[in-house]
Amino acid sequence: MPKPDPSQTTKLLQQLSRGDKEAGSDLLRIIYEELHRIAQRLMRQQGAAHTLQATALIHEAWIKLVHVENPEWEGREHFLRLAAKAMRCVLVDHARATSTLRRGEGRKALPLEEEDAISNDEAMRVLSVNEGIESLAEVDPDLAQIVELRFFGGLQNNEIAEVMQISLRSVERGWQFARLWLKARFSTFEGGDEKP
Amino acid sequence: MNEEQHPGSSPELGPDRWKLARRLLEEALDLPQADREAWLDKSCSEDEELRTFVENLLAIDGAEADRDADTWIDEGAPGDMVARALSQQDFAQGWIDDYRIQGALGSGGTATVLRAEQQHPKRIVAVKIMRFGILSENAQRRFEYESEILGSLRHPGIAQVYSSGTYKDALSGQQLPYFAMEYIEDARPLDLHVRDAKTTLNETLSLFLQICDAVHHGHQRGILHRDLKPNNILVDKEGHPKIIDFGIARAIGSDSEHRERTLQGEIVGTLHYMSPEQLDFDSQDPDLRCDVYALGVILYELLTGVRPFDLEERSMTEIIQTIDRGLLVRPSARGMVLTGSRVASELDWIVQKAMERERERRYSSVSDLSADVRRFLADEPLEARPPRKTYLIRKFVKRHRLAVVAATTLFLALLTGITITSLALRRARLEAETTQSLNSFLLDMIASVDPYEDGREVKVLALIDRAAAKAQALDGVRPAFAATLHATLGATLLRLGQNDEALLQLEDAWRLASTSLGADHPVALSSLHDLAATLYQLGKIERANDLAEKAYEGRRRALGLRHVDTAKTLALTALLANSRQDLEQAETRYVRARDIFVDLQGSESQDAIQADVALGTIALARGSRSEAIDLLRSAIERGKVSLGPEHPTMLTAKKTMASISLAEGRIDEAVALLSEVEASEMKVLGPHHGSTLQTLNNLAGALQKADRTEDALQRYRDLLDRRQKAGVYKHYMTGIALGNLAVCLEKLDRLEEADEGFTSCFAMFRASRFPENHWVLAAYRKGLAVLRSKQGRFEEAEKLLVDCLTTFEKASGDHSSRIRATQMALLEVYEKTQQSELAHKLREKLGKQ
Repeated sequence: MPKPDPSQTTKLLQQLSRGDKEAGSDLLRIIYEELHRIAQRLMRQQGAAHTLQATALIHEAWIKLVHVENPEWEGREHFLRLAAKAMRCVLVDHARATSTLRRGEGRKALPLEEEDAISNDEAMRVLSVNEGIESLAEVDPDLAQIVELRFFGGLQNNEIAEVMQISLRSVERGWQFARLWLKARFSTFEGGDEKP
Repeated sequence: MNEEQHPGSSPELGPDRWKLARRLLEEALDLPQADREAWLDKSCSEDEELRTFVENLLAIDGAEADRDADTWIDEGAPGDMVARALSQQDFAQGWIDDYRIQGALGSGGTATVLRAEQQHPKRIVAVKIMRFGILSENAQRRFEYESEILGSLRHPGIAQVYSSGTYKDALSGQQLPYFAMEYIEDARPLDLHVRDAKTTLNETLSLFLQICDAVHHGHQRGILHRDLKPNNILVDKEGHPKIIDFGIARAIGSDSEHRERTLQGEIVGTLHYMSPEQLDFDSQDPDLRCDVYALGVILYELLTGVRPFDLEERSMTEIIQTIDRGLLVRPSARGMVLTGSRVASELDWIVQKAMERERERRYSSVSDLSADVRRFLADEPLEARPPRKTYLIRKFVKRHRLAVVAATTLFLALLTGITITSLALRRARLEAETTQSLNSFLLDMIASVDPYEDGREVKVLALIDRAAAKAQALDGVRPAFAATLHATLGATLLRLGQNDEALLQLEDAWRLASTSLGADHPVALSSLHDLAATLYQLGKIERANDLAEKAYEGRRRALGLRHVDTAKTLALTALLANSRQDLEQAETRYVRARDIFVDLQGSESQDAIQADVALGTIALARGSRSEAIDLLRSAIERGKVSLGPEHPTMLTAKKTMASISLAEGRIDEAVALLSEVEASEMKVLGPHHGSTLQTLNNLAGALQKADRTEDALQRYRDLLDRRQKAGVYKHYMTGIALGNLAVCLEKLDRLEEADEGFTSCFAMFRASRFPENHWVLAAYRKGLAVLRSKQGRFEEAEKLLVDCLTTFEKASGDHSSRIRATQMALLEVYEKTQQSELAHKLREKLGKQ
C-alpha cells in the first residue's frame, strides 16, 4: 500500500490549477484512499463515531496529504471540491448498497458488525440529495456545487464562498433556495415511498 | 415515482425560468409573510407553473417557522454514516467472478466482507475482499499457494474457504485478493454472543474448547491462524463457533506488511490479540504459540469482559511496550462478568500461562491449553502454575510464618476429619459421598503440588488458591458441597490472616449453605461465626457483632447452650464486647464460655486457656492486678503443653504478665518472660517483625532496670541493627532505642560514646517529627543532663534539668517518679555547684514528697 506522498499530492494540485484534467482523477483516487484510512482509524478510536463530521475528515485528509504550513495555499479549493465529490460517491454507493440489501432481504440480512447498520431513512436521504444534485447540475451547476460542498463536504458557507470564488452573500442566497427546494423534493419522496 | 409531481423538477422549468424562480423566491423571502401572496400575483400572473413552484417553496419556509423543522439537510450527511461508508468499500452491485454481490456484511481494517450469491453451485457465500492489492509476483504466487492449502482445511469449527481469486478495483486499479467462504447465517461475533447469551462459566469454557479444537485442527495441517480475535470467531444460531479467516493473514502478506499497516493505525483492534513476538520486528517467524497467546487473550476477555491491556489513545511505541512489558492484571482481579462473581484463580493461571511474554513459557500447543481447561472442568490438577507469584507468597510467609504453620495443621486436620467444619458435616449426616468428596478433593489438591517449586509452607496458599477455584466452579452444580468447601477455605484463610479473601469465601459459604442446607445447618452457622470473626479482624465491629449474635442464637437453638461451638461463638461475642469497651459484658460472657470449655474439653484446652488470658487482660484493665496475675499465671502454666510456647495466646499472656511484673518491681520475672517471648517471636515472626522488635526493646528496658547494663546495651545495639535491616530506621522508636543506648553508655561511664548517642537520638526524634515538648524527649534530656553533670558541665546540666521538670509537670499522666528522679539529679548539681540556697529548698521539697 503506497503511503500518501505530500509532494506528489502538491504536484497534482498544481497541475490541476494549471488546468490538467488528468491530475484531477489521480488526486480523486488519492483523496478517496486517504479518507478511507482516516475514517477507519477514527472508527476504531471512537467506536460508534457519532461525533464524526464529514468536514473533519476532509480537513484531516488535507493536512495528511498536503502537509502545507500555509492552509491558504491555492490548491486548497481544488482539493476541497474533489474531497466533497469523493465523499458523495462513497456515501451514495453505501446508501445504495444498504437500501438494496434491505429491500431484497428484509431484516434477515443483518450485517456482521451491528454498528455497521445505518437506518433506511439515512440511506434514503442521501440518495434523495444525490438525485437532487444531479437534477440541479443540469439547470444550475453552481447551486449543485453548493449543495455538494455543503451536504457531502460538510463545509461552511464562508468556506464554500472561498472554494467557489463567489461572494458569501451568493452562497447564502443559493443555499437558502436549495435547501427549500431539496426539502420540497424530499417531502414528496417520503410521502410516496413505503416506509419499512 | 412520478416525475410530474415534483415541485422542483427542474427540467420542466427550463434554465431561464429557473433563474427567474430563484430571483422571485429570494425577493419573496425578504417580504413579510402576509405580503407574499399579493406580490406573487403581481410578479408571475401569466406563468401558473412558475407561481406554483415558488409558492411550494415558500410554503415549506412557512411550515419551518411553525414547527420544529426537520434539520437534517442543514446538518449535512450523517457523521456516523460517513464513517461507516468510508470504512467499507463499494461493491454495491455487480459481480466478482462467479459471485453476484448482494450487499455488505461488514468491514474491518484490511477487508470488506460481502454477501454474495454463487452461481455454480447455487449458494450464499461470504466474499472477503482485501483492501490492499497484491503488489508483486511473489506475493501473487504465495497467495495462490496458500489459498489452495486453505481450501483443504475442513473442520466444523472453521468456516470453509470455497475459492479465491483477485478482483480489479476500478477506482485504484489494484488487484485485490478475495476469498469466497462459507456463509454463516445469523452469525454473531464471539464476544457479543457471550455477552448477550449470558452463558455460564461451564458453557463459556466448553465454547472455548471447541474453538481450541478447531485451531488445533489447523495447526495439525501446518496452518496458523495468526489473527485470532473475537471478531474472527463467529457463533452460529446453534451456538457453535466458526472460525473465519484461518490462515488468511499469511496468504495475503507477510507479517511485516501486516505490521506496516498496523503502524498506520488501522488495525489497532487487532493489536490486543497479537503476541509480543508478532509485534517485534526482529523476532523469528511466529509459530503456533502466537495462536496460543491470542487464545489466552480471548479467554481473558471471555472471563472478564475486558481486554488485558488498555491500549486506547496510545502511540504505537507505547502499545508495543505495554504488550511486551505491561503488567497483566489477573482476570480474577478484574471481576467476572460471566457468573457475576470472581474468576477462580486457577483460570488466572491458565490465562497467564497462555499469555506468557516468552513463548517458551507458554503452553507448547493449543491442545496443551485445552487439556488444562478440561482438567479445570474435571477438577484435576493443572499443568499451569501461579506465575511469578512465589515472590509475594514468600514475603507473606515471612510475615506470617506462625499462621502459615497453623494452616498447614488445619489442612492436615481436615484430611483426618477432626475440624469444626467436617465434624459439622458429619453431624449433618450429609451423604457419605460429600465427606468422601471433600477428603479426596483435598488429597488431590495436596498431591498436585510440586514440592520443589516453593517452600513447604508456600504450598498451603497455593492449595487454597486452587481449592477456591474449584469451589467456585462447583457453586451451581453441588451447592451443599461447595458451601462446605467455601467454609473450610474461609476458615483457613482467616487463620492465615488473609481477611479479605476469607470474607469472600465465607460470604459465599454462608449464602450457599443457608439456601441449600438451611440457616440453622451446622455449616451455615459455622460460616456465619467465621464471617463475624473475619469482620472483627477487618475492624467492622458493628456488623461483626450482629452476625455473631445471630450465630450465637442459631447455635444455641441448634446445638444447645452447653456445646463447644455455642461456647466458641459466645466467646466471640465477648471479644466483640471487649472491643466496644463493654468490659462487664465481655467478662460475664468469657466466664460462661470458659466454664463450658473447661467442662467439655478440660482446663488445658486451647479455648479454655484463651478465655482465661482474655479474662486476665480484662482484670488488668479494670485495675485488679492480683486477679490478672492469677489468671495469666495459670494460663501460661496450662498452655505450656497443650498450646506450646509459640502459640499467639501464650505470647499475649506472657507479654501482659511481663508488664505486670515490671510494674510490681519483679524485674527478673519480667526479664525471663520477655526473653521467652522474644525467642518465640524470632522463630515464628522472624527477627524483623514489628512485634519482635517491640519485644526486644521491652526486654532491653527490663535488663536496664535489672542493672544488667551490659546486656541491655547489647540488646539495644542489636535492635538498632535490625531496625536498619527491616527498613524501619527513620522512626521515633529508633530514637527511643538510641536514647536508651546512650543512657546505658553513660551508666557505664563511656561518656564520649554516650554524648554521640544522645546527639543521634535527638536528631532521630527530629527527623521522625516527634513532638518537641513530649515527655519522652524530656526523659532523654534528663539522661543528657546527667552526662553533662558527669562531664562537669554543670551549667548546661542545670538548664536541661529545669526544662525537663517543666515538661514532666505539664505532661498528662503520672510522672511522679520521673519528676522525683529529675529533682534528685538537680539537687546533686546544686550541691556540686554550691548553690546551697537552691539545694536547701529542693531538699525540703523532696523531703515532703
